[in-house]
Amino acid sequence: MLVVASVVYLFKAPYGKAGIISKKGGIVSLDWQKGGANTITVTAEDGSKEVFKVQLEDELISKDGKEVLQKKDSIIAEDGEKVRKGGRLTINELSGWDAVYSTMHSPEIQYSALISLISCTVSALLSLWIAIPAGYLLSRFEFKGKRFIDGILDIPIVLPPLVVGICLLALFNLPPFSYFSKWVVFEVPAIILAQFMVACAFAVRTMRVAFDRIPTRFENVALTLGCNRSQAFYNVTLPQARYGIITAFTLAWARSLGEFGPVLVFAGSTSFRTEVLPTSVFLELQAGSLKGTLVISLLMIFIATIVLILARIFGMRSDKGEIC
Amino acid sequence: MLKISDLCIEQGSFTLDSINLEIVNGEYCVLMGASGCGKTTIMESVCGLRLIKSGKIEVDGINVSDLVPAERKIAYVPQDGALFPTMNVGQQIAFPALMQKKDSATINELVKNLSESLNISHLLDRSPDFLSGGEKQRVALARALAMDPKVLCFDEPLSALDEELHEEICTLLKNTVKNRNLPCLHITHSRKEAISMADKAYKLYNGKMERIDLESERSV
Repeated sequence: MLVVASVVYLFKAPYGKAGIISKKGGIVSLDWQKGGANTITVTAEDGSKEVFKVQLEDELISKDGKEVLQKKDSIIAEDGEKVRKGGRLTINELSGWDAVYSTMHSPEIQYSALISLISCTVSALLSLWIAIPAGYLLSRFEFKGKRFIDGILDIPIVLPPLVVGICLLALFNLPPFSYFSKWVVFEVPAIILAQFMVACAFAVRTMRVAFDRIPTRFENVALTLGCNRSQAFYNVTLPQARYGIITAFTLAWARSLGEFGPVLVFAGSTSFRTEVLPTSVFLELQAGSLKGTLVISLLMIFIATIVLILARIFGMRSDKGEIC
Repeated sequence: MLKISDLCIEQGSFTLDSINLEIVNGEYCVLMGASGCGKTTIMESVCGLRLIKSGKIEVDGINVSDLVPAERKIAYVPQDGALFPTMNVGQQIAFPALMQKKDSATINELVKNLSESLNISHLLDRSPDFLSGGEKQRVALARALAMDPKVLCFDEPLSALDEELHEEICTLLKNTVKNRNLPCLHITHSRKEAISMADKAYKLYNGKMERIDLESERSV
């Protein structure tokens, strides 16, 4: 329902006069300043031109038999300025498709989408790297301090996300972590670390449940058939846990994609550096572009859905024994 | 030969004490008792899957009490066979040989011979999910034999089978033990099964083992 509401709002007609974007990009010419018509001409690199009629003054127009005041276009482009593909020429609210076009062609958003995909994948893989042995250990062995470790693993889940970011910031201000802070804090590794902190806890929980559901008798039989413990784990238990691994990866990935608070605090929101999709949503909202915010949000929903579908398809195939 | 001397197992408040057992090659020994009396605990201890408090387990005169399960050469076939769900029948049978790092020609030969002798050649590509109870037991037996064991241990192998298959698998297990001349320990909660299959039978009661007189039981 929320997704439908977002889509409906995005494609609803803008209030008042719709904003204008350049579909090709190029050099802006404000023609009325050169004695021409009330138009903006954008000349692309290949010489093709886009001409947009603009309204320079408020005027009363007749609409459905009534006289209504049509507001003038709020022009933000300057004469001689180079605008990008999808760049805005006026500040008015965009129509749905123009908002999609403009946002998707924004280099900042493209960068943040790319960095989000990379950081989520890295943090999900790192989470699995910890979650598989930790989940197995907690599921199969009894040892001193097990309950304590079990409890510690839940802390990132129950902590407010913002606090995780602040704690990380504090940690990297203390030795020995402070020696690495110039390569980590407010850099891409900070995004991965902030995402990993929370995603890993979810992955460990998922893997523990996955191993709990695999009876130990398979491993026991493997041990009598000539395996040592690690061989029994890799050859018998791990292939049976594949669906759990896929679920843990998906969960960690999706959790990382939505991570905002810790990333903002620990990595910042510098464009072309540490801006990830949730940060882009925040920045667009701050800039007052609700439609831009909705486009990025829907993009995140789309990416998350695709990952979920792929994981399900892959998981189902694995379940049938096609992939081991 | 399998020899168990003064075996003592402690598991929380549950104790099994003074367990003594000797099974010669080709002998079919059945250990029976009610559910929860500790039959499986004894078998798991023999296989090395459970720690023992004291006592000695010998296989062909060698003390294996301190060896890991892989080095004991004791084949363990649990109730439903515990076939690995991610492997097909061929891979299951090849598994012990793969762990022993045998070459592929030897492994293929082994799989072929065992599958032919247990009449499961037509099932080699099949997943365990698509096998009947009897077929699962055959595959589990083939996999156990593939490790070239010195002792066979069956944990309630017939309990999940229907009457028809019961007879068939009984004969198969008995023939395998005789033909391969291996000592066999079979545990069950069924008195009827114990009397019909055993060369030697014991009853586990209150943590102690007592021998059953098969002759008098059969004449009843």
